[in-house]
Amino acid sequence: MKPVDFGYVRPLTIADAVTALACAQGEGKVIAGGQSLGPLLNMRLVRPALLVDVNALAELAAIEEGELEVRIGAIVRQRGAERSAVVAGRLPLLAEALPYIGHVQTRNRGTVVGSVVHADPSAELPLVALCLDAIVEIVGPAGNREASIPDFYEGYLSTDLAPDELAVAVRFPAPAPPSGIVRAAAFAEMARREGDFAIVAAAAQLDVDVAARRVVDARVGLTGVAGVPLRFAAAETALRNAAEPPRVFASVAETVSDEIDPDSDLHATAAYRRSVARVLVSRVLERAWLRAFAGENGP
Amino acid sequence: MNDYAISVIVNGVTYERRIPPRRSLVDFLRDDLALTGTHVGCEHGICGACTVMLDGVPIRSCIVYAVQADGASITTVEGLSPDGSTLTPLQDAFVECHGLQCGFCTPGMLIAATALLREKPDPSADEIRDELGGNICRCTGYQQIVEAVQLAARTGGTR
Repeated sequence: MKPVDFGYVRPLTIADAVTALACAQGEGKVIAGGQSLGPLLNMRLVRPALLVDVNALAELAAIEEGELEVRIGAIVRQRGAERSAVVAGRLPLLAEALPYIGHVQTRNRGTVVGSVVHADPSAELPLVALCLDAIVEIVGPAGNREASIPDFYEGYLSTDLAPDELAVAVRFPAPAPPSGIVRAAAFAEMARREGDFAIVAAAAQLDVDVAARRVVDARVGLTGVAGVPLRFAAAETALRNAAEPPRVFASVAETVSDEIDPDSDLHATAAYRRSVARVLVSRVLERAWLRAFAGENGP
Repeated sequence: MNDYAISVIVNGVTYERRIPPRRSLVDFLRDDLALTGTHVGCEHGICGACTVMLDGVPIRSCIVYAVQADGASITTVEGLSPDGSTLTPLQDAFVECHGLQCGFCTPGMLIAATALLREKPDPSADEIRDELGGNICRCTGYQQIVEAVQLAARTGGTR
């Protein structure tokens, strides 16, 4: 199982990387961690003429903490983000999701941005990016632009990134919660084996007014149930409106599982996915709620 | 396509070779350098048999291309023992606990477990299973492998 023959460049500047992609005339492919692209190459499911290796772009190696957001550069490894105090403090949902990705050995190599951009419909990070309203920073021949998620995702493994464009970073909005509000998150996943692709995964982030026992902001999402990750506005509204939120967790989970229309495949029927979705949504809501009061994984 | 000149340090020795960019790191180690201790299993990043250390951290050498390792330092199973002739406490523990049968997964297990013990000298059974979760073994049922890592933690870790 060997990839087709391809050319290779390792540019030292973003401009050179974009030029290399442009010269490849749609036959170029960016490689950073390569933990998704490598298998696709080896199985010859992709046959690029040129690999543009961005691992020498040192300016893309940083996790930058701003007042309102955290910016993660394109060659920051998943393992690096997993160990980052900034991620732990400012992006609790990302911190919760990272350990579910593959294994330590793949997280040592795979990147946060690469996973967001690869848009695998059962991957963890596109779901996190969706729940946090992340923004993808893109550089192309026409200059710089930004794409917001969910608009960035067009379907199964498809984004609006053009073949001659490079995603240089993902910005995750992370404004500090107002005083008295605790932000807490939870992630849960059902997979056939530890580290395998999710059959279904659920994410929840709650901003909780602990004194009033109310949810002031809610993010609820699922992956593995459609071609793109999904968020559930009606569920989020119900959580914000609930006088005693834990009492609506079960009904919110039920509503979410009614709303989805998953496909059946070899590993799980649509009905099973729906059932798992209900259980996992209920579980992440309970966990996030309890963590808000325990002061765990909040800022 | 054109070959690419690379310089890689493997187990402390610098090698300079010209290779096609599509050559995986594991094929480079085995076929170009004749370091056949690293095994190649699934060739798509699932089984963990090809795990080596790249600049000190364990990675899958079947889904890293050799050209990407240009300038990097690699440790394979042949490089675990400092003198190349004795076994490390971890390797001894694998023998002692019968942590292998056919031995196909063992080089990857040893690299992954060595990395774990460097970071956590006294890991719990759960931590060992989590760290080695990406290394598939079809013989042992994993129990003896976990016991071997625990024994190594008691007898001297990676040194």
